[in-house]
Amino acid sequence: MRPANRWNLPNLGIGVGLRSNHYDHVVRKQPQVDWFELISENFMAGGGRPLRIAEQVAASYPLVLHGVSLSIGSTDPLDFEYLRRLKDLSDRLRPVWLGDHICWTGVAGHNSHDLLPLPYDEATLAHVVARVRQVQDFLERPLVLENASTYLEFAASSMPEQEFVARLAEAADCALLLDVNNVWVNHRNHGTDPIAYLDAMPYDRVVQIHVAGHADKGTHCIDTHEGPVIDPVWELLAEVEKRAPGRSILLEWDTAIPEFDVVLAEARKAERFLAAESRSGRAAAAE
Amino acid sequence: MSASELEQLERWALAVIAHRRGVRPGDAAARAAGLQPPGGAPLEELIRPSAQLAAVERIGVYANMYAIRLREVLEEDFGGLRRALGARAFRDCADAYVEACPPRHFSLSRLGLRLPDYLATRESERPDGAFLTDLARLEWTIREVFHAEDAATLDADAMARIAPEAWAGTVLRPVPALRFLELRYPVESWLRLERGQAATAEPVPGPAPGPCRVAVVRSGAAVRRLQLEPDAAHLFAAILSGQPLAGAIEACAGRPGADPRALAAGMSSWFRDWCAIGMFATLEGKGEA
Repeated sequence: MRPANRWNLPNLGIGVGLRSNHYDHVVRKQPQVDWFELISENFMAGGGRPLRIAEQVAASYPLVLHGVSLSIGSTDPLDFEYLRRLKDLSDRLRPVWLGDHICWTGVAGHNSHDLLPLPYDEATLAHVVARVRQVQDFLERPLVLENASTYLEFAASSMPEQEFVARLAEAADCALLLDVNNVWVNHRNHGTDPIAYLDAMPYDRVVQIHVAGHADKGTHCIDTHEGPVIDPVWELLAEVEKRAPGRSILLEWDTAIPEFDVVLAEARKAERFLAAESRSGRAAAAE
Repeated sequence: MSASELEQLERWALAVIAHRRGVRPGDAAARAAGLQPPGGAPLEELIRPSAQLAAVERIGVYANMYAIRLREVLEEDFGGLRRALGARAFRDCADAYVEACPPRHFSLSRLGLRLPDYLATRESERPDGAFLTDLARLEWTIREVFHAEDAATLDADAMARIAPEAWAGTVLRPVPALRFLELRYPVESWLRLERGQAATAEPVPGPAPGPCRVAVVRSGAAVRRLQLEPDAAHLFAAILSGQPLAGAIEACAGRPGADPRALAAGMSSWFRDWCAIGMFATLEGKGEA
């Protein structure tokens, strides 16, 4: 498949996040899936069965490592023991790429195990850019950083999130994972314009797209990765396809996880939206 | 915002989010502890409201998720403890533990590491305190074994080939995924009975005190638990301490009340069972193949 980014990273097709509920199914049945995304930390804390499963999956499918504890926006010093383990895991599993989130997860050694929001201002941008560069130097590969879903905005922010994300990617020379569900969730939580968000992305740096379900609480949305993807999120995927076709797409499903085939069928719905976009693009070109 | 103000903001925000009694008490406690946000600004000046939620409610979303997420992880790792305590007391226990021992490791799988020791310091607060500590210790051990490194295992034939005269110089090395516990309550049989039962909000009483000697090992993909009789447990502990086989057997036979003939009769089947479920990795010394 044709690469469409400055690192020539391939389009892996449509994948799903590998979760422990499905380990046996994936290893035994070897389902027809283009690729898997693994949560890095699930395989970094020890060996045992999880790592053995990851190795078996890596032998049969392309995979990507996606972390949740890099804490790139924290003011704590970078955790080089964490990075060493991540590098070891990467050497072992040979992912096509690896990444994490644009957020902080803890400070003063206390890990919240959540993706906490940053203030989007110049000083924070400079802080995160410097850390991304350090991490990339250590890992000797580009980081693929994801826009996070957020539930609050700091008054200190002086630029929209999409400007922060785009400038970070350019200044740190890193890649992006564009989560269109998070774009939608943040639109609902902050009243931001999702199309303006997509318009601001530097697509030569976007190598992966996430889609997922979320919980709509009425007053706000929570990025639960539960249930089917709603149509407005699929429509955002189609909008990305208009701007940047051929990105690797992945469905995340982390709450009330159903049978593997249900997750896979949900992921494959992406084909309809991509195909619809492709058809409408061809029709527009013919007019 | 300067770099030092970003640090101030992060420290303040995390203190608020992680406070077990909610956002307002968390904000007050953070400031009282010297974790002032930049400029000492009030919460409403640090966080914008949305069209639907006030600033305090928006940071409250994170506070709720913090508590729920960590409770859920502990509940998954300590299902037996949750059953023994009941829903309400388990929730209080989990929240108090997280407050006393906040997560510091990058992996959530380590969250419960200190829970058995934490419960041990509070045993006197409840009549069943020692039972709860033992139960938590067994459940955490199961978790540890699940995540321990893989290793090749020694088969029973290799054991059988060791000539008796070589026993004095032969040491058995356990696989990394093996632990041996000697506990004060029969938590192994209690857990076997209770784990997997339908969830209940009410506490389930623990057993009367009684010794529990249990080996926990991962065999293939499954974690297995093997209760050991006193003689077998003594021999097993001696082997795990690194004693050569002959020394371990002599120490076991020399215990007050030990029956050397029963020991001799049991040993071959014990070793066969232990090897069959993959408890040992290598032989070192004279018995080495």
